[in-house]
Amino acid sequence: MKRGGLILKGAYFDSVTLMGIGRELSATPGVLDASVVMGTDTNRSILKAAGLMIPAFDGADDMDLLIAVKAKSATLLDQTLARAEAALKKKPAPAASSASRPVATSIETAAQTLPGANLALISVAGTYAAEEARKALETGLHVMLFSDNVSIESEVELKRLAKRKELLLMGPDAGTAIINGVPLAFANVVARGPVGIVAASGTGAQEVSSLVSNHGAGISQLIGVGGRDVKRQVGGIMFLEALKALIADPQTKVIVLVSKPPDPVVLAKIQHAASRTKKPIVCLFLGAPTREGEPHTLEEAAALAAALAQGRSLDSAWAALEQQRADLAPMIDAGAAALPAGGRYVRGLFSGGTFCAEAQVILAPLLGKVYSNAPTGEGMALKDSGKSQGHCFIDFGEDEFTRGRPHPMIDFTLRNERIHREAADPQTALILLDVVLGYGAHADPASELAPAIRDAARKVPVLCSVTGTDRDPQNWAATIDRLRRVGALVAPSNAAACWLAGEILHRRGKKRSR
Amino acid sequence: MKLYSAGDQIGDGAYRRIASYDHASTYIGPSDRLLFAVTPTQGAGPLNLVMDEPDRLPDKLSFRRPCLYLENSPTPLRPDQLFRSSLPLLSVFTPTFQHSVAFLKQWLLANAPEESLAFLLADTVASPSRSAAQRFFRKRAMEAHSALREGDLEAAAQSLRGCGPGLTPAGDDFICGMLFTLRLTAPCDLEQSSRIFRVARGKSPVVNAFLEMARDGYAFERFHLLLHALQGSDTAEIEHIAKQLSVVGATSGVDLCVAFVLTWEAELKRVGASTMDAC
Repeated sequence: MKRGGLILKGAYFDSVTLMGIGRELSATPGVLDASVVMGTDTNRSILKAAGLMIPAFDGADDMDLLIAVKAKSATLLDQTLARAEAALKKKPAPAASSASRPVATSIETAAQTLPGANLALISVAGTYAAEEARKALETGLHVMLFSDNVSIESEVELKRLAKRKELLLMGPDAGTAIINGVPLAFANVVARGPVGIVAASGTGAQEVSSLVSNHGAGISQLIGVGGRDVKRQVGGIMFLEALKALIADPQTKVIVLVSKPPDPVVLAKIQHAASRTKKPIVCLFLGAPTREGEPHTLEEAAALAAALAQGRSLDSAWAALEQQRADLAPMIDAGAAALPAGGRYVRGLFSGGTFCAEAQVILAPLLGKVYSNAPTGEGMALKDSGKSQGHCFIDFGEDEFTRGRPHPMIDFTLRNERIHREAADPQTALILLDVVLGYGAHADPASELAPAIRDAARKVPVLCSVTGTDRDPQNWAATIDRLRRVGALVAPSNAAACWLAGEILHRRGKKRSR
Repeated sequence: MKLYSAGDQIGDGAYRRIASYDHASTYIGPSDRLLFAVTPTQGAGPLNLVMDEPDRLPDKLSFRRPCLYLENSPTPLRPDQLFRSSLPLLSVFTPTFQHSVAFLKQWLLANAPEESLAFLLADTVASPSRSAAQRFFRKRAMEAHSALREGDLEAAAQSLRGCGPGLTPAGDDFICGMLFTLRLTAPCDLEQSSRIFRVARGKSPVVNAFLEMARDGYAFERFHLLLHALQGSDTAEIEHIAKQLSVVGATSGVDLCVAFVLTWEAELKRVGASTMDAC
């Protein structure tokens, strides 16, 4: 065990930065303890009591920043301190002159600084987001509104304004878009091609776009409109505008619509708009009843869209999906063999809300009662999100888990803790996880998850899916490989992972009944 | 540059920039008096200059009422741009206020970030932390809470001064919350506030500026809005402003609210429940 630290004299960094760095250091594997505090007498006495004090901190005072780390090895200690220093250097330099920097801090000056820009990505506190979005629309910019906590009244007003001005307003709470090949916010590096996507579901859109790309087709545009757009109050204003845009877009030959079931009135409007084009449209309203030949999962929607884009028959797409299931048989055997004796329930721990919803849609008919903190379809509300009951699916992107901390695609702390806890629960039969790659997501999710998966996989099967492509910064194939090395069973999609979970439990049921 | 408001406690004189953050800058002026140039997102405050693009300001500026001078060029302030930060005299021991504080307490318990001091509001023991430093920090906070419950506010301040994470350590945010509350519950007892200030005062000009403003009852806009909401019974409004406060700093806004709730409870105990009945 090694102890060390840094002292930055007279340093001013904002509290959010300091706490973020402290959290990142503490979560580093091999780091036993870490603290990032100002060098007040009290804080130094706390560091001393915690065994984090080093002689260099003795002369520190209230305006000095102290970074204290206890790590398993000297090498790791040095690396961790170097990372902390680098992270602080990335922030605006203290006392730096900024008068001549070409930094835009308002929509108006941003538009002046970059003439020709036609889209504003807005991510500010929800209270101010609507006003900023309005300014951008008034300036003639399309808007991707990443912020949440925007009132539904403001959303309706902004979307009406955007429609009048023939602009798109994606969001609020829009996490994913790819416009003219440029990924915005959480998005994957996909091939360009003829498939256009309109989505009221962030991770759903990421899964479909990645799978389409992995099938060898590509994406023309991905327009995320925010989950509330298809509700009655908003009336699908932007979903319809985005659909119209894709119908008019010469690069888009096939259209995919992804969302949870829209309000019936909105659905009728979408169906009407869709009937006015000859372009093939694949609709997935996750959890809504489907007819023969219609997709039921994100994976099926992607496979059908890719087939249409490549001029293949839909039958060939369905046949390929059947074949994929047959190819997964060894994974069912492996999972069934690893099931713990007393374990009865599936525990799904998701960073993507749509994946959590899809798990409920797929597994409720197979397993019976399912519980969730974000119930969808037949899913029932969980009494306490911190405590699983029965077959249980947790969306870690819900507000209760994200207040005061980054999205679970970036910060794995809570999910890793829960993986350990679920694995130790004798009622757990298997654990289901999603891993999302791409811009905005953690730079190395496999490393973040590896210790927790390794520990859990000794007790229960751990089933994962990885959303992404080989062109993502994290690399899809390398991520899968690393997860497999620590004992995870990796399925080709979230839907396939859910199906496998059902089959694995079903297999044990058969064994018992024999 | 668009100027929205200037706090009424910004002192006249020449200032130089000592720090710049994302969308904010801190300046120091005569007698170590501070001035914070911030965006409307951060809001008005006694020492805040609220404007578009505060990080494009020059490194030196001066302020002589009624003008802000940037490179000797005056920007006049209209009277309506002056933010009046002095806390009002309020009746805070009314049943309505009590219900509102109880609602705020529940909201904080349910929504405050894990690293904040909100665990002090719970009747149960805080979940154990992996970090020894965090455990010792919490221990000190619990000692302060015990002192506060016993009515010994100076001892509470002594335990928390300069304690915890953040540029303004969480313990100092808490002490600011105590001082604001005392301005409301005991507006005439300035001696106690002064004693707490003397205990808490350190070497950081930023912390000292906040403590001084709190001692003298000069609060930022969101705290005024919170008080306004607490006087009514509209829980949606309380929740709305609590959310706004919870994004001040990493945990600063929340820690200040936690201190407000706990100090208000301690003060209610001191003055006696009969005060409430009399209202």
